[in-house]
Amino acid sequence: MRILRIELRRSAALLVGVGIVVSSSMLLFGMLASPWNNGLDSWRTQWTTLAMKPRYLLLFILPFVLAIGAWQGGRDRRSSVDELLATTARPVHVRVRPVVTAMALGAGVSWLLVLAIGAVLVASATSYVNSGWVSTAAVGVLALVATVLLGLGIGRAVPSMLTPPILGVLGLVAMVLLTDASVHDSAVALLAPGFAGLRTVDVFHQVTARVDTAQTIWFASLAATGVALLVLKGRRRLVAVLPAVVGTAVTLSLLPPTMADALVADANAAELVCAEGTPRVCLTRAHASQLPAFAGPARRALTLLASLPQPPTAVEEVPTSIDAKARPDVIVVRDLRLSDTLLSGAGTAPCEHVADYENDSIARIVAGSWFLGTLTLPPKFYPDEMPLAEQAWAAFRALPQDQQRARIIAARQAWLTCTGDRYAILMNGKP
Amino acid sequence: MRPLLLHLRAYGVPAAFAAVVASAVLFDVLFKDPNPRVAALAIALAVAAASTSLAPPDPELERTTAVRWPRRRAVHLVAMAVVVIGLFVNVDFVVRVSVGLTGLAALGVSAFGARLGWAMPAAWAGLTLLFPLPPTVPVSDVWNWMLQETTAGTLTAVVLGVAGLATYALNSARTASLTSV
Repeated sequence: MRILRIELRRSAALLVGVGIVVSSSMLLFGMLASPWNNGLDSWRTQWTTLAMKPRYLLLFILPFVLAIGAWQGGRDRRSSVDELLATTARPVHVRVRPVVTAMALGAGVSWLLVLAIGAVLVASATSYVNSGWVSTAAVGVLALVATVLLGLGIGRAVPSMLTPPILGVLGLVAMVLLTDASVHDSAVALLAPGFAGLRTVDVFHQVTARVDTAQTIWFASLAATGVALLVLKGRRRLVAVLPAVVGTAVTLSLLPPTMADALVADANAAELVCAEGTPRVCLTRAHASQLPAFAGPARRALTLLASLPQPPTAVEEVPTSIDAKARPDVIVVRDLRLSDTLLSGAGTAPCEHVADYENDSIARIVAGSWFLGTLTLPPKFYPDEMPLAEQAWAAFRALPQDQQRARIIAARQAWLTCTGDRYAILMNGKP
Repeated sequence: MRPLLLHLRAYGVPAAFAAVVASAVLFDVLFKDPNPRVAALAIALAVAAASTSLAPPDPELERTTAVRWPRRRAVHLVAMAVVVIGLFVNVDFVVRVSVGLTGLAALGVSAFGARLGWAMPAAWAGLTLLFPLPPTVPVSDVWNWMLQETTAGTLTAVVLGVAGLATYALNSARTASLTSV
């Protein structure tokens, strides 16, 4: 125990631990929270995304953990005390136990700390829990511990000063190549700990148990290789390659052929949960914690739309990863962050494959603002488009009242069927 | 000649040079049609391996020798950059990438010692490749200097190279690493 405490203080375990916590926090709250990565909400609102998104950081962190492990592994040889320590009357596996424990603790506890910080944020943001996230997050911890053990083993086997830089950059090369492989939709990319190629990382999809198992076997085999390299001596070190080879073979046979097969839809999360009373306002179970705050504005929107000839009578959420048919009797909510725009497009969902996206979104804003009486912009609106939106709104409001209403109804029909040029309908009267 | 050979051996230059040559050969053999990402990483590997030769095992002791160290260190660093450029001469923009990465390595060695100095070029390369900034962000030209041919990027590489050369030549490497050994 005393030796363990000394090792924790004196070895690179503190460096690994502090480095992981600091760099992860900076990347999680900086890079992964940036506007082009869909902001902080992309990972901190659900347990599933907390398990999956921070693992992308491991693609950057693992090579450096590997290198620092290698540096630590070469410590005895560099200080020329390896022969001295070998003369002690303790077997090798007892001698290396403190440093192995210290480094594993440094790597594992730091990642658990990062996850704990995220867990505090997630716990206050959602009420939906599905137990699949625990195994996905645990694979991340295992990946770090396995990499540091592998680094220790390689560092002890090849205690040169060149080992850490070569391992570090080669690790980066491996991560980048595996990430690029995921672009071609190959499951080999799952040998890396991050989910770089998956298009839908959200609460409505979970990693399959098969992929979790395969990745666990892969990282466990790497850990076994590292420990074997630490404990075996001389030519017997070649045996240490065996766990890695077997592990690779087993993992590749278990992994699914395409990245899309790595996810399974979480039906429980997509189930609709409705607020009390009428008219019907329903959100998915994953977002059920926002239902009380959402019901009021949703019912107000339904009241405002009641003047239409065939007004919608309910509000339902459909997850963005699922295709939704247009339904005239229901306002379909796709993305809760834009819930202020329930009225946009006169209560319709946006169409895919739009010829002129800018004009169509301005048309949707004009159509929604008509029911409110004043131009109301959604939260995520590009400031450069403001003058265009104001112009379109002024031009539309200059028309006679019955013409405005006729055009709104015609444009709503066009959005429901996804035909015609809705901007032209509103501005010129003809599609 | 003999003092030069002893000097190089003390700095670990033969092993580092072998590693640099091996990385260039492997890159040529494995990647017939490289994209800029892999090329940047290959040059980063060569620079990282070479950066271990930028300091002797005991910099404090060497500093007491009455020799013009700034000039020697500057020649060493420039020679390292020239060797890397020469071995990767078929890569697009090799001069820019090599100069920038060598400067970063020199900065890293000055700050963290020869054992950890490689972490700086490796970290920037990793961040650029794994966390790209979209072109709409103003600082993306500077961030992606390794991958794109822009004026801001070239300027960044030059600034890094010059800053690294100045810092390393005037300061040498830090003696103790971050932990005891």
